Amino acid sequence: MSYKRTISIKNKLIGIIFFISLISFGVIYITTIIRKINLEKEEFAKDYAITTKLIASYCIVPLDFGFNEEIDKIFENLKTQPNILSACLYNSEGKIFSCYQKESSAQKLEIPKRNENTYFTANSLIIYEPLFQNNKEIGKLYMQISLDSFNSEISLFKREILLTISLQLILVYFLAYFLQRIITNPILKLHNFALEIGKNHDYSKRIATIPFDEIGILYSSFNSMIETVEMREQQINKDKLALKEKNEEYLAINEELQEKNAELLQAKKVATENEKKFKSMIDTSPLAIYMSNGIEQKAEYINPTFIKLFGYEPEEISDIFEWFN
Amino acid sequence: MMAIFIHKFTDYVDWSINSDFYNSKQFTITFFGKTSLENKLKIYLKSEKIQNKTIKINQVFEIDNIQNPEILFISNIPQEQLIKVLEYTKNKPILTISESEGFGKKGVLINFFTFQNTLRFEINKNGVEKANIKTNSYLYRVAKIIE
Repeated sequence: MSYKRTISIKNKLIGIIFFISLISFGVIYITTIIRKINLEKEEFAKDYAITTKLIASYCIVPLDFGFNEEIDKIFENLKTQPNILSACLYNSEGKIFSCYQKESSAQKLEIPKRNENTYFTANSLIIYEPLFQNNKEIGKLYMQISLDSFNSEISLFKREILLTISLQLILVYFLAYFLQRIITNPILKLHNFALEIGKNHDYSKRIATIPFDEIGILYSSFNSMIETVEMREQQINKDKLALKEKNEEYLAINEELQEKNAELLQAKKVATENEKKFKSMIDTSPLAIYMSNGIEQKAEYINPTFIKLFGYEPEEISDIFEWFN
Repeated sequence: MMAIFIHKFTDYVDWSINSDFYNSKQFTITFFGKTSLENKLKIYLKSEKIQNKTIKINQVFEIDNIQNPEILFISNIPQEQLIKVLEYTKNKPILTISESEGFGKKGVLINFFTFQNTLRFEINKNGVEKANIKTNSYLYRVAKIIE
């Protein structure tokens, strides 16, 4: 199925028109052939029914009087009718009175059984014609007519129709090839324009509008779309620029902050070292040191000398006033 | 065979243009002169009808006794007598039949003859046209025509 996606719209359109034409012509071809065969068969059967009736009319008196020679003379004349393969005349008892077979006929004459119908076989038309004398059936004439000429005519007709349809299909192809441009050219124009826009990202361009059909609406919509895209692009560019400026600003601030941070870290390091030095100094001081904070003057730190000198642990002293009292 | 043919001729000949034919309930076949065919025909047409009429078969030897049959079979009679018989049947709706050579040319409407051991018949076309009867043209197709 994927190959369908790779076929161009032009070829798809030609293919669809060609396919529909092929189906239509095919249906027309089949129905015309069937109709022609039926009509021709009917006409053929009618023609030979008349011929059979005529021959039968000539056979009435000879059959009635039992003159075989007369029947043979009549059958001799059948040689001038190339389509008549064989003929048989039955008497009123259904027995064969006389028979004829075309000399060139390769088939051996099979004496047909008496039948009442006229019908077609694969290669011949069979006709049974009753012979009446004074409203009394005195016999029946059997005729076997070759369908070779009929089939040749039908074959010729089939070939003619097939040739006509082939020529029509060629014409359809060329017409489809040229006329598809009416539909595909605006679409291809839009396609190429879209490709160009996609390639160059130049949203300032507009496709020239065409009369207000569906494609025209598509063009207008496409123009509106790329106009919107252009506006958004411009906005994005503006925002990008502003963002860039902000970013640069933030980068500068960041740099400054990093510098400050470095300074603070350095200061912190110094302070930590000082704190360590101070703690070491008061921990090792021979003086008792009590450090408190806030209005309540709660003890925050008491150096070892203080504990050693006064015998109080820090948790035993709630504040400096209590300790003094 | 001749009896069969005579019977068959009745299918191809129309006497109805003569008004007397309608009124008559009998279909008369008369044999003029001596012939054995009369008995054969009687046997063959026993209990048969021709054109819905009962069949009357008789034999006469005098011209005055012929009356007006539908078919008159003329046996092998002398020529002088034949001429008189034909003079009698002239313009009458009588189908004359014979089995003697040359009678057809003399004016008998249908004359039997043998050809290659087969019984055939000849028709005197002028005579049929002048007679007050109609003959089916199909009959000419199998007959020898005498103009």
